[in-house]
Amino acid sequence: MPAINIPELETEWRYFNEHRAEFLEQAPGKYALVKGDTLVGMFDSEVSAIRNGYEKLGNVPFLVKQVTEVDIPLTFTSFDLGV
Amino acid sequence: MPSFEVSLPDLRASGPVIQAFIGPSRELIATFGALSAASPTPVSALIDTGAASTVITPETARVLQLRTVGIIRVHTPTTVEPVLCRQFYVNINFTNEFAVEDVLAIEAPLTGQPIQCLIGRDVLSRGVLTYSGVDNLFRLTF
Repeated sequence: MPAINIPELETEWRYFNEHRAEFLEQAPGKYALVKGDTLVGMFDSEVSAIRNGYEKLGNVPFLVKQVTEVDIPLTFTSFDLGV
Repeated sequence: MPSFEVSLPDLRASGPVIQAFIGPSRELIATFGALSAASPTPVSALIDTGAASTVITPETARVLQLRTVGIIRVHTPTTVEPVLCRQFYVNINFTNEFAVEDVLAIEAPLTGQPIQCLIGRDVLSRGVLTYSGVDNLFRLTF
């Protein structure tokens, strides 16, 4: 997998995508909380995953990602975001 | 219900822009305490029904010392392939008394206009937006 432009979560992004199929089998639709190359937990909601991230990991970068087969990109139809 | 009405001299030219404060999320403050969180920072925010998500600039994220909590793929009018963007968890304070809390905003440079925030459909999904072009005013109700 090529490097991404978000270095603080590169490991977490790679780990999530490498294990996506496995996560999908175990917990479709749930929210994965990932730190480094470790799955911290699966949660029913985004807010619950983020709350647990703060409580268990501290105020540090971590990845919360919904377990879906593919990512649906967000659309911005009226503004050039400069990205 | 909290409601904000804004009248502008030329709503068509300026767009529905509102002055707000972006701050750390309620969840962060609840976990670490208000003293450990940066104070909310003022922004000019454009209400943008074309934005799927709220957007803040890298400078706003830097000032608030926010930590990344997610990554999302984003399509814009000028991108061919989806681009990965950081996500931050924030509160949007519209007044001293009212905030839309725990918003998962994406980070992107907002080029070409004097604004530091887009209020997207994620926030609008929590309320009612009334836009009156003939009266040069808009209203947000939550």
